[in-house]
Amino acid sequence: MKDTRTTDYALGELTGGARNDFERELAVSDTLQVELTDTIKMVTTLGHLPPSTECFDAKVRRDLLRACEENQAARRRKKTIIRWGVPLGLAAAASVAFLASLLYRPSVAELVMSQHGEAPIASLEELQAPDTEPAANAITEPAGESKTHVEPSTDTLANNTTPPLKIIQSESKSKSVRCPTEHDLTEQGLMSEEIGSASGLASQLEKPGQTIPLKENEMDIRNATFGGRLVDTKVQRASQYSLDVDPSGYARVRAQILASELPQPDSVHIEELINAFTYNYAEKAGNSAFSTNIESGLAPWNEEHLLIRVGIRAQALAENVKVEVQFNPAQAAYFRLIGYENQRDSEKSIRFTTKVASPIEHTALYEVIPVGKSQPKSATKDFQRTQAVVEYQPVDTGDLLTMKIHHRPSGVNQCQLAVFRFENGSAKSFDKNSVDFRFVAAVAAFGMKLRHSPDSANIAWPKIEQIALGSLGTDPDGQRADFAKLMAKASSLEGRGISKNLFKAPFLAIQLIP
Amino acid sequence: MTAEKIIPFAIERFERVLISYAKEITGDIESARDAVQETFLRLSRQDLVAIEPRLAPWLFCVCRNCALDHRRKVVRFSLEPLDENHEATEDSPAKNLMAAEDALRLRGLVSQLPERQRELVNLKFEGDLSYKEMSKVMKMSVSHVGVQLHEALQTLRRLWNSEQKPVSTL
Repeated sequence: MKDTRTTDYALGELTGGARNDFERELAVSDTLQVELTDTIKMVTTLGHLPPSTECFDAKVRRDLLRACEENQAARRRKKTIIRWGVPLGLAAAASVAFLASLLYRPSVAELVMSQHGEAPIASLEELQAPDTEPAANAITEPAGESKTHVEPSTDTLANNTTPPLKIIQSESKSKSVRCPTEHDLTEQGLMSEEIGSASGLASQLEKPGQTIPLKENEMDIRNATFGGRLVDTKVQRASQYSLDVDPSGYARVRAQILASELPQPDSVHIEELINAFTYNYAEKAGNSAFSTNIESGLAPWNEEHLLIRVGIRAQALAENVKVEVQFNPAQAAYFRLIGYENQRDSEKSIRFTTKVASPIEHTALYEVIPVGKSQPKSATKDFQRTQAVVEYQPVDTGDLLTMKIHHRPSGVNQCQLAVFRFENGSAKSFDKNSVDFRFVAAVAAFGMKLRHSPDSANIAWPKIEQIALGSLGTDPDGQRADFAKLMAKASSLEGRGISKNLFKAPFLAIQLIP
Repeated sequence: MTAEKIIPFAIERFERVLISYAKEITGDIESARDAVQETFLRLSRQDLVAIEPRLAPWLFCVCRNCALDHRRKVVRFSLEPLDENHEATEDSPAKNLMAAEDALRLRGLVSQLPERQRELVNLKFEGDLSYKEMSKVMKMSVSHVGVQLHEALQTLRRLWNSEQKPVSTL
């Protein structure tokens, strides 16, 4: 073994007896002394190299500090709730339920109100369903049009630092749009179009990928859409997500499964799994910095639902990149952004603005319940709750969705908007979809299984494995084949988990009997 | 230190060294900044009081992972080689501490080291981490850290001397 003692000694890492031995040797060896002197000089020089001057911009540092503080505050709140909230909450709930059962008889008026949703505005906060998305939006049409549209808000996530919002009368043709109160418009979103009219921005643009200039002050998006939830397009038709996903997420999940351990459901981020793989997206078309690759098919876990894959390829460099997908309510009754459940409120402004510093690919998946298909139970309730807030007549343009990418190309001062439309074709059977589509569906289903998502109960592990094995494609680096193996392992672990619990007690009993 | 002060302190103390460390891994400054931003955000979701005693290794470890992720992203998505503009070619405000020219030369030599050794040199001399802390960050044994650092220093001395400028004149 190599004698590293001069270095260890020079760095103060040689201790105890080894150090004494070394010093004794040092005293009688000229060679060792020269070597040590030389090493110490190098160590000293390295230790005095001038510090790096690269740092954050002042604004980034400020935002970062604020986001960190909010995270910490959220952490403290969570801790307090766990410590006090759970026992107190249980006790309170029990007492309230008991008293209510003794006292409550619903009045006719109350029943009518709940049917027609004529809830007073003051109670919107209480009614705020976790599944409804923030929708306080106003946009000034960038392409020379001067009308400003206002969407009513159900957002209660007040952010006091948001600049005041200028509201201009909506030109929406909607039957009854409740004008937003100042309270509603505490967060400003800028990417949505008018509600209740189909003459949106997308229909003004004929060429896919066409870009139009945007004003700089229109780029600040505070309206985050959280993934994983079923969203009623009558309430919120726009969904935003960040292109910036942690690519190590899959590696972590993989490592855990290989170590024969299933990851904590909450720690699995489906968007990270999806984006750990490469897909063969077409080169960009036209002069836009972005190209999209959108494909739809039947969701393998529910054939009544559509699965939409939104692939983006960003090739030129761009800043302030924000992505929004808008669904056409005449085609899509509900949508769910798959993954992104953990997108944190405090990090919205950071996360939703991505800088594309090198060419990237990004894939997002949406599950869509087309109009006319059976309504999900979970969404029905929220739909009724918010029915009073928004009501309008969707006009069918035939498009399923419109995708918008706001960005500022590097070296250009003006922001631009790239718009892509996707028509709702007849859904083919899952097997007819592209290899990439089927594979990404398998990855999503795998993630849903690991997250114990209720929808994943409809698809069995062997089926997902079969889809993955049938969609390996060319798989140059063997990553997909490895994934298929990983899935087999995960499925066996889950099976083992069940049997372990089932046989725990008898096993213990056997151990105790001598 | 109280929990409230840990993050401002961590940013103040480690921002620059982490960016510099991450840049060695990612090869470009923007990804390095992103990786460090992510590092601090991850820190903010932790129990700060529990982490404080091992703050430096924790930060370097997470930063390393984030930077590697960024690099993987670039390698995967980009057909272009990584940005090879290492610090040796950049301006350096070295005047106060050592001759700017020497600093540039030495940084240039450090950048010629194999990647692991380069990282260890950074962790040691910019992050001031102990062997034990480095072993956790780099996921290698303490003795291996010693061997790698020793080799790095030997190489640096040899390269420096081969340029006919003995270390003793620094």
